[in-house]
Amino acid sequence: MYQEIISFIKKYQKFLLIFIFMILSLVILYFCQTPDGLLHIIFYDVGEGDGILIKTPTGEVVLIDGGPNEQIIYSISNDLSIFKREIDVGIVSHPHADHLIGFIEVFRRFYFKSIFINDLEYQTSEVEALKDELGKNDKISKELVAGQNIQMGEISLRTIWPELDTHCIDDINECSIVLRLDYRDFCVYFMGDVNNEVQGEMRNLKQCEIVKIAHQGSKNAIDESFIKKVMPKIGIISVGKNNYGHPYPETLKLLELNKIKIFRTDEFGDIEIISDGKKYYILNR
Amino acid sequence: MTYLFEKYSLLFIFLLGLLLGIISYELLIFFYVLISIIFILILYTFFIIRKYIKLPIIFLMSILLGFFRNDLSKYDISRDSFSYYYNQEIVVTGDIVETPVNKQNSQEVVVGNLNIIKSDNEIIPLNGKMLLQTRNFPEYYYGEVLQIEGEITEPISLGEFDYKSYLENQGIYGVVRFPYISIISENGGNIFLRVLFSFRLQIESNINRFFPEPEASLLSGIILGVQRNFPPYFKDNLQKTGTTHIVVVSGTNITLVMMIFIVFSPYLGRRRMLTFSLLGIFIYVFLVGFDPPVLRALIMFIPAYFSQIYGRDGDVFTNFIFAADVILFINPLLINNISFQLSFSATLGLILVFPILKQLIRLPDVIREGLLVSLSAQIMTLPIIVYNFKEYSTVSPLVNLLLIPIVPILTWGGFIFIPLSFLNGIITNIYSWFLYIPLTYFVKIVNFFGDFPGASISLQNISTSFVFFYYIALTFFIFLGRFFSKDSLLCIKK
Repeated sequence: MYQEIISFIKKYQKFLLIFIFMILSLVILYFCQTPDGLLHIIFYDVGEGDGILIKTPTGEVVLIDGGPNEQIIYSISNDLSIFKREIDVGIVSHPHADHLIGFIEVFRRFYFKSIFINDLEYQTSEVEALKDELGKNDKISKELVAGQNIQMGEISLRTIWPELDTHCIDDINECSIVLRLDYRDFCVYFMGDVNNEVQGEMRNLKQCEIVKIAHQGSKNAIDESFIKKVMPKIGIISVGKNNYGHPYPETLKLLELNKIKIFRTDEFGDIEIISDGKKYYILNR
Repeated sequence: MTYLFEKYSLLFIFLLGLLLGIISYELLIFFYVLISIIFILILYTFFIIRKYIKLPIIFLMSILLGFFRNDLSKYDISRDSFSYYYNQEIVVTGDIVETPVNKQNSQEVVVGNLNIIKSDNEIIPLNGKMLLQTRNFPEYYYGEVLQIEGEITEPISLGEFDYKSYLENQGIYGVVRFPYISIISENGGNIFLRVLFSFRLQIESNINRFFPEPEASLLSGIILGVQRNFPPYFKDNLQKTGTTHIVVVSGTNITLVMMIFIVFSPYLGRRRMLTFSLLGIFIYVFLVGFDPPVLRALIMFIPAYFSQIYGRDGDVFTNFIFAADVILFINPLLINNISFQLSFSATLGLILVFPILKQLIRLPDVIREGLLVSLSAQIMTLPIIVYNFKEYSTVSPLVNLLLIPIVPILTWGGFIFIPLSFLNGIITNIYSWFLYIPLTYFVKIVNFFGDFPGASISLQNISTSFVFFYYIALTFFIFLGRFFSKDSLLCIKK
């Protein structure tokens, strides 16, 4: 018996070696990507639009918007390895093309546990395509209104906007989902594309050091009363080459006046925020 | 030696004439490239031409044939009929004849079988194809019949790249930007291709579900020849490291498909094995599309198949020339196609330069074959690459040496993944992890060497005379190499 094993090993020496090498490298790869107990928020440089990935300390993954093109697919591969082909929560702040096109592409490639999107009755070909994909996978998307809370371990994603009675017929940007992420003492506002008027109407705001500035820093991207209530120190603007004049100079000036430090994805590339619940670091990649 | 030449001569002379005929029709820059390749070939047949009087006649006749064949395909009335409608608002119906391509912020759709619908409902057929630029969504698929309303414009070349003739070589004479489109039916095009293309899309999306980027697009590139999904950064690095030829479907894939059947030959018997592999290759070619490199490999395989079936000695060089004859006769415009030029010159390099290098260069056995094969292909293709891409990769031989050994693993591994990917279970996941290791090795090597400073040298001013003299010098090198080698036939008749 012992002899047989020896001769078997000798016969298939090469294959066994390759097999062992592969198993080892898979084990190493697996341990390289286990959650590190810190919160990671990555604002991808997707061009003119939003694409934000959140990795919680316990390994859950949240995707907020997907940008106007397929760029997010390439960026997201740096953060989600071959072992992680699912996303726990997907949120589309509002169904405009610059938030949705990349999201659809991600949806085709990853298994989503839950999906949140408002205003699916909005008539565009992108929304139709997303509905098709949802139908193919027997998925039902849910809506988010102010007060709802998505809890993942110590992380909570609280919906600030829209209110139950909010209606936006003219501009769907006004119905954008606004979220606040809380992790112990650390919090971040994700403003979607809401304009300054809407920001004035928001309730239950609390002080936060980081805000993702609404709508690529457009003309009406930020409201002074909002700044007074939230008192942010850092503003992140997800913007790319565009013909709209984003970010608007006046907006940048207003942020500067309030001593808000600005990080722009078109200047820094992908921006990653790492936090342990108290301190935070901002990296560019 | 002469015996061998006799075998080639007929096909050979035919090719020469065909080439000359096509070229003399319009003196393009590639004239020099091809003339110099022909020059190499002429040296081989030199003695024959003196011996036989019938050959010069065939030669002259094939010149005329090439001339007229090119004339026919060039003088296409489509261009005239299109130019009549330029800058006009038209309503036209047509079938999508290729799988649409996704660009950064738009989608490119090629439609054929065009029928213009006039305001009085008169229907006028329009020869040629048309390119539509639309938004990314809704997505269009092969075989859909569209009604298009928009302004048709003439293709224009921007910058150095001759976009207009690039499109015209594909039979596309008009561009419509962001038209109003409605889908009339989904049953256009060829039903066989419709099934095959949707199958291909399905495989692609399966690959995308299991692998991250750029590994997913790498795998699609290697087994399906799909090139449109590469991240821009990775695509640059492929070019810088001179490895683009690996991620397109080429003759290598055809060989690897064939080798699958060879494994089963003890159970099937030789003849049946050959027939099955011919069938398998045909299906595979339909799946990946008729790019020049694939066509070349396929057509080279057919005479090899028959010579095997009838128990005769085949040889690569004859098959090679046969393939060139057939392809150029079917579509003379391919002569301007870079992919065609690269594929044929690389194969020619393997046939002619490799045996000489093998005798000249002594290397450790492990790397010898691999390095010399890629080196001989590179020697032959260098001027074409440098002239067209204005860039030379210095790390190419090394990177190719590191990557070529794992290409069979990736190709076969990818073939096995295709049926597994439809199962959708944990087995597929585990299998994808194993396949991920060689894939990521490939990606890491390409990115590591691509980011190296000086990985590629930019060469802006390569003149046509450089190309010309390079090939003349190469011809003498090959001639000398054959003259001095003891084994005068070298490996041609292997």
